[in-house]
Amino acid sequence: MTGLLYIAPAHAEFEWDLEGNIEAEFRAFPNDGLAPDTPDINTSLSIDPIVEMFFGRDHSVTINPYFRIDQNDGRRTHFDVRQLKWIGVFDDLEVRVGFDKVFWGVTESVHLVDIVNQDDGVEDVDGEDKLGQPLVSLSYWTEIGTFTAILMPYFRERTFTGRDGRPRSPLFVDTKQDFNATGSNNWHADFALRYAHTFSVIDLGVSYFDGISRDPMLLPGLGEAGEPVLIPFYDKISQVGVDIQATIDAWLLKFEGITVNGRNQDRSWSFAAGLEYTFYQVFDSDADIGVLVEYLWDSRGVMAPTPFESDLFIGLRWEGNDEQTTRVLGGVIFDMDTGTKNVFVEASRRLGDRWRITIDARFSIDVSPTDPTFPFRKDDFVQLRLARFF
Amino acid sequence: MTRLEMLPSSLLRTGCVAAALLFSAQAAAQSVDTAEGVTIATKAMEQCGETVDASTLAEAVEKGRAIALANEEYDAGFGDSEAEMRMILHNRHGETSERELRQMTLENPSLEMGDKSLIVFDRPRDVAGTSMLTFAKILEADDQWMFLPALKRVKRISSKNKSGPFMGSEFAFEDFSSQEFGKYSYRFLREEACPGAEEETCDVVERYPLYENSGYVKQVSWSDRQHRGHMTEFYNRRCDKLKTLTFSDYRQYLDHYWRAHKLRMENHLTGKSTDLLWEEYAFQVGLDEGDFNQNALKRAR
Repeated sequence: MTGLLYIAPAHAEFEWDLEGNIEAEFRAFPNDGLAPDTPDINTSLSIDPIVEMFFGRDHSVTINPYFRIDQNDGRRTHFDVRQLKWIGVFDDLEVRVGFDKVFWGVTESVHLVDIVNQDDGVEDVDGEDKLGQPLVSLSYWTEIGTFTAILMPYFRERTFTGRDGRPRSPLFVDTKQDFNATGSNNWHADFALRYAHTFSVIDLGVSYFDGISRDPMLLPGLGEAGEPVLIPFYDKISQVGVDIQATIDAWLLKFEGITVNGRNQDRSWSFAAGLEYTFYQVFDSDADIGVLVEYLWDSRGVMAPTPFESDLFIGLRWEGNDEQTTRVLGGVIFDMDTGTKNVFVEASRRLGDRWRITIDARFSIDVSPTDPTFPFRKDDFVQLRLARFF
Repeated sequence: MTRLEMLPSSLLRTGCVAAALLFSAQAAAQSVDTAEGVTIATKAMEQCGETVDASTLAEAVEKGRAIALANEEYDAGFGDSEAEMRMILHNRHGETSERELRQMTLENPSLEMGDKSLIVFDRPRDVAGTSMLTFAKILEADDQWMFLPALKRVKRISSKNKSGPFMGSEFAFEDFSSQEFGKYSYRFLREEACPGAEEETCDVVERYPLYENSGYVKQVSWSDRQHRGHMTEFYNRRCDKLKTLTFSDYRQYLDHYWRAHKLRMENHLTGKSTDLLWEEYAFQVGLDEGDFNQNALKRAR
C-alpha cells in the first residue's frame, strides 16, 4: 500500500508506505523436554507491520510495532517496538532518534561485533531477532570513511522462554530477578563509536562500545518458591571490535574479532574467521551453490559463556534463482572441544506473489555434558512458518 | 546454534541491473584494437561454424566499433536519473508474476570508473525494502553491497556472476549492461530496415563479450541512426539463438536522450518471456555522491 500526496513544491512531497507480514508458526518437538510439562507442539502467530513516512528527500519517520501471540508460552506472547524513529539527513550527516536496529559485522554463524541491540530470545534460538533499542545516532560520511556515534540511554534485558515454553533449560531463567553491574536502573548512558570504510576489495569496520553487556551471565539462585533458578546478570563492559571482509572474485573472506573487558570478569578475546565461496549456475542450471566455512574461538575456552569457544561451522546454501525464489540452507556447528554437533536446515519458497513458506529443522547430536547446549539436548524441533506479506 | 541469514540471492545478480540500468556513458575507449577485434571475431565465427572472409573482416570490425562508440557517446552527459520499473514474467503455461523496483543512477564523467546506482525492490513483497548499491567498473568486477531490511544488515557481495537470471526473469545482468562500449569487441554485418519499424534504417552489428564469464558467445544488435536499439539477439556458448530482446515505446528526454520504456525478452529454449516496463524517467534531479553510500543504502526507499 502506498500513498502519495503532494503538499508543496516537488521536493517537499509527503509519501507514506505500509509493508510487513503476518506469520503463522507451528513447531513440533519430537522428544519430551527436560523441564516438566513442556509442550510437544506449539502454535504461534506474529504481526510485523512497518509504516514509513517520508517528508521530502531528507526526513522520514518509521513506525514498526511487533506483536506475537503464543499458544503455550506467556513470555513469548509479547509486544515490542522494533522501530519508532526519525531520520534526518543534513548533507553528509545522518541523524537518527528513537527505537532502531543496528547491525555490524560480516560473519554468518555468529555476530560478535554486533552489540547495539539486545536479542529477543523468545523468538528463535539463532540470535537473529532483536529488540528495538532506544538511541540517538549521528553518522558522518566522508571521503576517508563513515564515522558513527551512538548514545543508548536505556538498557533492555534479553527475553527468555517462559515455564511453559520450549526450547528451554530445565532450570528456569528468572528474569524478574535480573540485575546489572550499574545498579538495578535500566537508565544508563551506554555509548558506541564506529568507523567503517571500503578500501578497494576490503570492507573494514572498527567499533568501540562502553555500557551494559547484552550477553548476560546466568547465575544460580532461588526462585519465589525457593526452587533453584538461573538469574541473568549483565556486567558493565567495554568492547573493541574489528570486522573485515575481502571480496575477491566469487570468494568472500571474513574476520570478526572482539575483546571485552568487564567490571566483574577478566579481559577476554574472541574471533570468527572464515570464507564463503559461490559456484554459480551449477550443472548448467540457474541455481547457485554456496559453501561457507567459519572457525569460532574464545579465549575463555570451555569456561566461555558461549558454546562457540573452539567450533567449526560448515554450511551449504542452494539458491534456485527461480521465479519463486526457492532456497535451502543447511549447516552444522561442530564443537571441537566437546564433540557436540548442532545441525540446522532451512528451506523456503514464495507461494504466489504474497506468501512464503519456510520449513526449519534444528537438532543436536552427541551433546556433551560439558557443552553449554547440554540443557537443550532434548529440544530438537521442526518448525513450519507461513507468512503473508502486505 | 545459529542461522545464516539468507541472502535473496536471486537478487545478487541484480548488481547486474544496477550496472545495467546505467546505460553508462563510459565510452571507455578501452575496447580492443582492430587486430585483436579481428582475432576475436574470427574465433567466434569459427566456433559457430561460419565462413570467415578475411579480406573484409578488419573493415567490418572498425565499422562495428565506430557505430557502437557513436551510440555510447550520444548517451553521455545525462548526469543523474531516477526511474521505476515493472517486470512481468510469463511462463510456458501463460501464468505471470510481477516484480517492481526503483532505481537511481549517478553518471560518472570519468572514463576509468563506471556509474553509481542504487536499486530498491518493492515487489514481490517478501523482498520489499531490499536494496542494492553498485559502483560499476568498466573491465574489473563491480563493487556491490546489498541491504537486507529484516536484519538491517549491509553485505558486500560478489559481482562475478553476470549470466544468472535477474529476479527469476529472462534477463541476465549482462543484458542490461550491454550498451557499455568497452565491454565488447564488434563486427559490422549489414544495414537494413529496422525490425518492427520498417521506416527506420538500422545498422546490424555483431558483438563479442570481452568478459570471460559471459553466458554468450555473441550478440547481434539492431540500432537506428538516432542511436536507439531496436532488437538484440543473444547466442549462448553453444551458438544457439537463446533469447531475443526487443525495444519499444521510445521517449526522448532533455531533447536528447532516448529511453525505451518497453523491453521484451523472449527465451527461445524455454518458451518463457519477460516484459520490462519503465515508468517515466526523471533526469538531473540533483543526486550527488552522498546519495550513493552505505548510509544512503540503509535508508533507501
